[in-house]
Amino acid sequence: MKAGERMKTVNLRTSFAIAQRYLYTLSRDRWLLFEMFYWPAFDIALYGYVSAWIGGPSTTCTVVSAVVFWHAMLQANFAVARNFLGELTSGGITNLFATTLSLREWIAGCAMLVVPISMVVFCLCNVVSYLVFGCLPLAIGLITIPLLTLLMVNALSLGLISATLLTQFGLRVQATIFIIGWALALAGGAYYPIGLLPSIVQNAARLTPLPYLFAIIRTPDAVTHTVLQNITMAAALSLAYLALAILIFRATFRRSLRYGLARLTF
Amino acid sequence: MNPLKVTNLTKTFPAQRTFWGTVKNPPFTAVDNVSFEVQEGEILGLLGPNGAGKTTTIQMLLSTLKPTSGEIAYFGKNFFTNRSEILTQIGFASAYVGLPKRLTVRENLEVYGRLYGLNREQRNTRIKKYLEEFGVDHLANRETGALSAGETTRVMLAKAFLSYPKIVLLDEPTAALDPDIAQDIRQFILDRREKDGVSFLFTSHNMGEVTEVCDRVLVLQHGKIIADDTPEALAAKVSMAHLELLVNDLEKATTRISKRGLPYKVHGHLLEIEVNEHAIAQILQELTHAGITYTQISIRKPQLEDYFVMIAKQAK
Amino acid sequence: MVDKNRIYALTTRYIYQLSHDRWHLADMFYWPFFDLTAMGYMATWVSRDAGSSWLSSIIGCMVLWQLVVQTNFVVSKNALLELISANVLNLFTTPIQIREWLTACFILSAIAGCTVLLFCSLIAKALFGYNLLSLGWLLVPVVINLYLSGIALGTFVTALLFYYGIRAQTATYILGWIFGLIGGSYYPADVLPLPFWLIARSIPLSYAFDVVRYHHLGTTFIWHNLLAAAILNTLYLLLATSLVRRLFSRTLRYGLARLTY
Repeated sequence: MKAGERMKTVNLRTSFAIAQRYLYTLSRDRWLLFEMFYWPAFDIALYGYVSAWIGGPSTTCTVVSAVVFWHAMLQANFAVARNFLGELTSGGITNLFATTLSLREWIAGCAMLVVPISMVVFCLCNVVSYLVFGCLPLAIGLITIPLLTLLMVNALSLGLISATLLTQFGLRVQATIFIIGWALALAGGAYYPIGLLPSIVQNAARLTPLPYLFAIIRTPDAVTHTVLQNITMAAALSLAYLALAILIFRATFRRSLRYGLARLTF
Repeated sequence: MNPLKVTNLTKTFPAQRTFWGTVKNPPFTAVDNVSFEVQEGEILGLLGPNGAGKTTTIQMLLSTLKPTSGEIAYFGKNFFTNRSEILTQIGFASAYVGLPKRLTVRENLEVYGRLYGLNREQRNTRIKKYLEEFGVDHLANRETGALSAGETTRVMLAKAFLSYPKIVLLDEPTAALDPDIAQDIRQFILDRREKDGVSFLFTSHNMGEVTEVCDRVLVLQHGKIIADDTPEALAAKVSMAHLELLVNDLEKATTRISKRGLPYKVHGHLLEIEVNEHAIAQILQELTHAGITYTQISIRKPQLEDYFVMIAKQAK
Repeated sequence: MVDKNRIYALTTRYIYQLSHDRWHLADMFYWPFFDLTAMGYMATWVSRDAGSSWLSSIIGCMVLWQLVVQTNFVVSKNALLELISANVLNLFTTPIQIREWLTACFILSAIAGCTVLLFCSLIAKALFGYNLLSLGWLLVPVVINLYLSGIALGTFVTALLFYYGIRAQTATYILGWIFGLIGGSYYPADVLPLPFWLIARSIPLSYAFDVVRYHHLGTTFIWHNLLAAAILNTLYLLLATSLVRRLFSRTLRYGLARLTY
């Protein structure tokens, strides 16, 4: 098969191997596994108890639901970023891309990784929030499906952005993979409505899909056309950012090949 | 008084237990009743196969590992009751420990200089001196993490000598160094001994280096000292020499040697025979009588390495 | 007896580290900023009907909580750095003693804690109009108590690192934050279920934060909160330092080298 032909097809088995590789690592790293659940549970308890103290049960449920959905996205984002980071820190990136693996297949593998991570974190966070506060975020109804789907798309975009930075700058910038994800919580409306922010920040935030998604989570009983409007905006922006993230990552990766992948591992 | 005196030093590692209390690994004696002294200005080698107890001994001599029993005295004083005072007079360098990677070479040496109680003038003078001595002065402002293994080793050596120690413990000091730099380091060690009377306790896997530098060698095996002698005397305990011949008829020669039951190797046209030193003349005579001629001959006498290989095989 | 030069040497070692590690430096300010902003806006939204005093009590506690986090983190991270770089073996072949090492960490954590406290109080003023100095003279005993809590916690984590080695590094990040949940820092201990309430009441943090909280909510000041915090802090700090020395001594039975695996 010629190099050009290889790029046009995606071998799903190869892609699945990428997801599987990270899941194996996760299953053996007890601390990583623990952290994947500890921080969401911590956040649920923290924000839940603060809102319970000031606001009462319904406010608590609103806040906690947003936190649960946020972590379903964040942990999946971290998984994608850690997947790439793991290749750099183990020095395995050269091995990986010396196989028949194409970049398209690697990205597809990350997409496959996002789904189980998001689902598992979301389910476990629902259990925690129910046990601690008697609140079940899942109870907002069928709207959960498009919400979670779009959050997974955003998780993949963010993960690719982190991978782009690692590809460009190497291990020096590994701390940014956590900073980027959390930074979006501030402007994304995950913990509070963006209306509280300065107007310039609000305007910038409205260019991202997250405020629309969290607006739905925060007010699931809003009129149907508002919900549909928000979902449509969020979907359009999510897909646009995903496309952009993929394009930028591919361009950066190809540029990185000029200097060699091995340099990224120092 | 001698810089170092070790008396009946023993280290038995306690049993390792699982969380439930069952024994995972039984107690293990790594160093067993070891006694030795390092004289002033002496370079003492510490040798042994892997797992013999060398590193365990060095760790106890540096107080990073508590002995089970025994005494360690530096300059006539008990080490454990005078630790802080004594450690200012001991230098240490190892290929197996690190320095903070984000600090520059100079910063690392500044910190260690202060830890050894040097004032600013002393630090400046000595850091400059040893960076030049070990050929790493051009790396003074580079982060330690960016150095190669050999460069890091040299910075470690600079650190070891900052306090002008009276005794220096070196664990594989020339590992990862180019041969010319390693030679410079060995010469430095010998100079320090000659000019300042510094004593050294030295471990190395380079037997040639040990032979060149050490006055005396202690050989450890299974935690016990099995030999305490000069490198030459230890080599002499191995009677087998290596006889190398460039023969005209290799097949005939190897058949002859095989019949004698002697081990041999063939390198191209070169035949290498392991033979008792005293039997060399007889072997050459036999080959000649068999019509085998040789145009080149060399005899390598037993080296310390051969002694080491012999005891390592015995240990297995 | 401690040697001032050796303490100074260790202090400079960590300052050099920080000066080269821009990400660590950024971390020191980014996460407090994040925490303050996220929780501050969330509390603003949730307390919109409850009144500004509720918001002030939360913001005030959050700003001061960053002091605890930073002081804890500096002490424990310094130990972790030595293990990761395998410098712990070099370090303890010099004349330093554990008490000198801890003293250096305490000095550094005071510097870092005050820096972050100042930064957070400026952020709180800029974003939420909150003035930390509105606590008045209470700020001094509260800050001292929270500093002691932070270093006691950091010392406890250090004890774990000096016994379990690099394997315990996750404790560096996780343990401190658990006290945020059960230490009464973001909300009073009374909000917690009984078992956690009992734990919170045995932690000095809950008393110190109650002083701040009740000051803003206009409740009568109760002396015994500060006294309880001071007594518990002294007790825990003594226990933690004793634990470090004990576990370090036990580690020497197996050798410091094993901490770096």
